[in-house]
Amino acid sequence: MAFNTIVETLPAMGRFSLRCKRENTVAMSKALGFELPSTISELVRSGNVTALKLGPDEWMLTCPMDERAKIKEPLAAVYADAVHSLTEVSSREVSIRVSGPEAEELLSTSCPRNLRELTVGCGVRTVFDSVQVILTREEQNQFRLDVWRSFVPHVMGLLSVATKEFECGL
Amino acid sequence: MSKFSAVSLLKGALTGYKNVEPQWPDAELKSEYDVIIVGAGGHGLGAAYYLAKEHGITNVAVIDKGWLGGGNTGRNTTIIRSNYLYDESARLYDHAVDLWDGLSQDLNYNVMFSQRGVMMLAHNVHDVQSFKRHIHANRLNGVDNVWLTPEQAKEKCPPLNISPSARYPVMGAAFQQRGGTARHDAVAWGYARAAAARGVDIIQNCPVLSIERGPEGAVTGLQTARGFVKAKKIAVSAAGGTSVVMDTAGVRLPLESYPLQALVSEPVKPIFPQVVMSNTVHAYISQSDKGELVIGSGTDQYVSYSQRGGLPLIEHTLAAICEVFPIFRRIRMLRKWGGVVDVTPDRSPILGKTPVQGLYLNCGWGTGGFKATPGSAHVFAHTIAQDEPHPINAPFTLERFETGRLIDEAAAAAVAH
Amino acid sequence: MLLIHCPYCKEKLPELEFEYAGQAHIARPLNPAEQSDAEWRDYLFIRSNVRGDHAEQWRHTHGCGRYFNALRNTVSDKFIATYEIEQPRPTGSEEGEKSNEQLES
Ligand SMILES: Cc1cc2nc3c(=O)[nH]c(=O)nc-3n(C[C@H](O)[C@H](O)[C@H](O)COP(=O)(O)OP(=O)(O)OC[C@H]3O[C@@H](n4cnc5c(N)ncnc54)[C@H](O)[C@@H]3O)c2cc1C
Ligand SMILES: [Zn+2]
Repeated sequence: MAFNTIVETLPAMGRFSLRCKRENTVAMSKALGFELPSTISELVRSGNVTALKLGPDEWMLTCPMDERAKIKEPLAAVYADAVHSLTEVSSREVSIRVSGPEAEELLSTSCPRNLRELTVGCGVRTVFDSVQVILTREEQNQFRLDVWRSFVPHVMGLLSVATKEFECGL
Repeated sequence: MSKFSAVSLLKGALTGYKNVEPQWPDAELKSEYDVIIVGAGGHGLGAAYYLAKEHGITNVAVIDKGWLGGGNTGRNTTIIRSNYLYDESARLYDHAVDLWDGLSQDLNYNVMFSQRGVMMLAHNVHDVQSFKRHIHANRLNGVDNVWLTPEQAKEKCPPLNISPSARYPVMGAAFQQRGGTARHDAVAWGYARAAAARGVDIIQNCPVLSIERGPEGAVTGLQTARGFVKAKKIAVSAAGGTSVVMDTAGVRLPLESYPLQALVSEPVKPIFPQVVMSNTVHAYISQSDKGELVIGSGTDQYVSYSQRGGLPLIEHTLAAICEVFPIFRRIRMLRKWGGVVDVTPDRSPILGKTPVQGLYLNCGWGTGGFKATPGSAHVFAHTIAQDEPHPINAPFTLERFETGRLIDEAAAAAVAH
Repeated sequence: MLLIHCPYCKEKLPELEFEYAGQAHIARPLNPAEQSDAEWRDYLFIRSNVRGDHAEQWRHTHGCGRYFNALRNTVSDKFIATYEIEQPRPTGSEEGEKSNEQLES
């Protein structure tokens, strides 16, 4: 059986965990130059910067490695008036992209969520086997898993075993 | 009731066991008893037996809402050991192991007590330190427990993988040779038969609805599905159902009832000689005499009376078993089930008197009370008969949660079985 | 596996993303030093352990990260409601139904 779903790790990117109270999100949005998403799982993109809302007061911001200042500097500038916590976690995570016609099924081997309900352009924190991950549906048949670095071999191992099983038609 | 002996077994075998008599009568509920025990598990039936045998109290009923032994006694994975850390626990559990030793003879019923040994694997430095601490403490208390090197462990248990490059390397093991397993149903049946032979009434399928108290506060009797029955003393031994029953007497308890699951594989040839537990990877395994691998781990995370539990826990348990014993990866599981275990904050039981006169309590055995059955039943009977705890169960009071004198095996071991 | 509705994510999600966190609506005494030993025991250890509708805390650990409350029947394991942490118990008293669901079942 032809199985052409690809699993690959992505180059390093800038990642920031942002926590702030609801009343400060207006100031934060203004500083960043785009509106922070307001519902959990909503992903907003502005140029090379993305913001994903993970919890009531928590966002994950990403950008290319050499554009990290675009996030750090404007937020630092408003810190005095809009208290928040911005923590750089770039080196904590590695992203894995799963793309191809069976991407959803492949991920379902280890993710307990009903992935059909994850709409294109949305992302959530969930578990993959026992590993906490951020799972984003970039396109209908393309997902991204953000995984803490030390768990990457485990996750990649599971995905490659599952790939082999699909390939031989199990 | 006729006695079992080599001759009677042979005769039965030759005549095809045609005229087997009931091993205990299904008794009618009388209107009054000296002692009523709520819960016909091993602990309740055992207490009735020792009340009759050692204290001459035979006007006793054991009442169960279901069938005898249908609670955790008939649902557990039958691991027996006594290598607990604290002095109080060591005395209590070792008292049980002493009684297990002669139990089949005492009851004239084969409970299939098998001292095959219990091995607890150490996978990291913390395990090594804590198990060695247990071993030293056990030795001071006269409880057998020895340290095995990985090679010695493998010699005893050949399926063990002791390669240093294993994901969870075996750095050694604590081993209690006097530990092992017993046939759980036979324990309930044996106690029921021996107690009934001494005049105890065993009442099945009769839920106890409430404990009734008189104007002075002392117990007067029980409201049951078959009506009111008077009792001078009431002893509750209802495991997962304890909070509900005790609430009707106005006694609120430091208990939470959780589902605990177990499962067995298809039967295979003898391959696994001991009971092996891995606290770190979190599962334990033994092989029954029928050949099934008997597997368990911890409770589900939420309180529940469902006697069911969820599949994530089963998956977690089997993942752990495959991690430690990759040879079992392709074995098929036959069935799984759950029981409702009553857990105390310090994971030690509550065994003694209550603030209510005439009301006695044996509960909180949580995930590990099968091993204690004879010992617990023995000292509980003493407590009921004398209205005074036996020295062995004296520390296991309900008051300890107020005084702070906890017996914190939770912190000491932190694993189920 | 339980399916649990997170009141913050507004989605019904698998139990594996959640952690159970004990009976709900147990307030820590404001001044522990003023408590009697019995009161302190009640706060620390005594639980309703009700056979019936149980108010309890859960945390959506591997999701939005929030603690929330749930009302769940401990016999059927069915969730009756989930609600945000500051909200009162939807039905009955904070203690739970006084009468436990009947013993026969
Ligand atoms: C899956 C599993 C694995 C386990 N593994 C081990 C192990 O390996 N080693 C070990 O030592 N322990 C183990 N345990 C724990 C052990 O089974 C228990 O601690 C022990 O059997 C308790 O015995 P008991 O007689 O107190 O309770 P039970 O056998 O549960 O008896 C209590 C009885 O009370 C009855 N009852 C409750 N409410 C009422 C009521 N209102 N009216 C009338 N009757 C009522 C119930 O029907 C029940 O029959 C395990 C438990 C489980 C569930
Ligand atoms: Zn959530």
